[in-house]
Amino acid sequence: MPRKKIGVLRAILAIFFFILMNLRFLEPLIKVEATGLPIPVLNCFSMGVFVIINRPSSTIVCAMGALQRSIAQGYIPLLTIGVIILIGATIGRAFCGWVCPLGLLQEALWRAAGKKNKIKLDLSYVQDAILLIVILTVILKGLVTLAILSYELPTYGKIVDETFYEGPFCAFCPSATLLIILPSKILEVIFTGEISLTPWAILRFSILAVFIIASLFTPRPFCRWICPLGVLMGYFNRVSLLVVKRDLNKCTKCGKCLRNCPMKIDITKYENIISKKCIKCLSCVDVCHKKALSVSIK
Amino acid sequence: MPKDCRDCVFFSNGRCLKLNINIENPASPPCLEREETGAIVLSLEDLERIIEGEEKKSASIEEVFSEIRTYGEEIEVSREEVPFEEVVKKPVKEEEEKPPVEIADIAPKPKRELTLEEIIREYNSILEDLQKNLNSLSMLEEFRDTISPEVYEERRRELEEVINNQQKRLKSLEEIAVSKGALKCPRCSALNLPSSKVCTRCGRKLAKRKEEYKPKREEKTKARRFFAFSLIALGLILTYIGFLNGDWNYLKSLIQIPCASCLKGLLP
Repeated sequence: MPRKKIGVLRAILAIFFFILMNLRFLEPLIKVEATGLPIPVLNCFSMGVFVIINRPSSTIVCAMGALQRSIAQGYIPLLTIGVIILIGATIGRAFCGWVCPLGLLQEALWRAAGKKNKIKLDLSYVQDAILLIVILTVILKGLVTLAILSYELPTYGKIVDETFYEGPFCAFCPSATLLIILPSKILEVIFTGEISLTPWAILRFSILAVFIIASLFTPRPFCRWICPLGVLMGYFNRVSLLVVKRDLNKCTKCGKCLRNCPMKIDITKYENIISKKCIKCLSCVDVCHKKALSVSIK
Repeated sequence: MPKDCRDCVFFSNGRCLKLNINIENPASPPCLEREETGAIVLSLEDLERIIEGEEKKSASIEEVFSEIRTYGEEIEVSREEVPFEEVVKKPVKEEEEKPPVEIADIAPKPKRELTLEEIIREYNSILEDLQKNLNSLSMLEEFRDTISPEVYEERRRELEEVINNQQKRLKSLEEIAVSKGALKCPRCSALNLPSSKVCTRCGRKLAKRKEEYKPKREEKTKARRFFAFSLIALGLILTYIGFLNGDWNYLKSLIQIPCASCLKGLLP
């Protein structure tokens, strides 16, 4: 493939998948059925609320939301786990690089701002910790729901209980803030001339703002530091069939791949790029003029 | 043409990309010295070598220029004053009686077979040069927009030709060396003596024999592939069971407004 074409292809595919995942947006014109297919990207299933149509536009289910909700309700989500394993073992974390709308937005901002990397933080352990906390919290809630545990949850009313313990990550997810809450608040201002912000909403907007601003100075900050779904899929990179390989004889360690990698992986350390951060975006393959990097099925 | 190497597009990391030489003093560019002064700076050693004609019997003026180095003792020879032909002309010697030539003296001598150490030394030195050339090539790519397309193409072609020759030579040397038991470093590709425990170039611990190293990697790849296929099978089974359990409809029911988790607490 010619140079710099993969980036364009990724952008086109991401927009295509975004439309496909929210195709019920066209429901007034054509009839589209929602599916129960869990996909490992942060595309909230409440997407579309308040925006033009007053019904969800999502045709698929966010795997992270589905996992949390199912476990918290005392239900083992076999279909979701099965799909995550199936996708992970086949293509690893590729959905983050090719489909996730939040990831693509961050990357677009980073590239537009001149590919700076001023925040050199490696917070991958924070990501692992967030995934662990989310899983433990929903398991605890699930055990309480099934009455296996009679522990009284420290609720501050039903709202906090449902909001936090059913979907601890959803409660802060910047994807939902960007795609649902922000448009709804904008419409609220347009139609009523007023805006009502709860402390929780302010917190969510602040989180979103932090990551949007950080995207201008470092690539994909949310994906690299926080996203628990990304890190969950990243564990499969070690075994996934699709892998980016580096030819040791051709590689001159010029560092071009590192400068263009949106996940800032030191590719020269690997022969097979099995880092849990790798989103298989193929930016490295695209920029390598020695053709030392290639994608292959092992 | 810039009067200082630092203003020149070909100057990078103390090196001239055009002439492919290290620049010790950027304030006096070697290309300017040659083209503008019209004077050739020759050392005594250089001059003697040229006059004796031992090494440069049929040298062109460009080849002599390429040999010019600055030494402690220098003499200046103006181009106009001393024609090049006169400089390289071999001094006429009086004919002397020559002893009779023996066949053994003029017959081509059989080539001595290189020892493993010599092969390894040559291989590693070519490898070093190859990497320098590869770096030059990548630097050339970096500066592609700043130099003219003709210069870029010419330089790239030259470099690629040299690189190809070096790679061919490395391949042939490697075959000979490996057949004699040399160890190739998996990190830096340098060759090492069979008795080496660590790579002499990068310090990496070496496997005892290449054969011991290769199957290990193949086994690892096979194990990974097996694990991946096992996971795919497990994923398919779980998906199927989940589907039978009614997960599909349950997940479908999650697509609703308002989403309990996300939106409660946001509305006043």
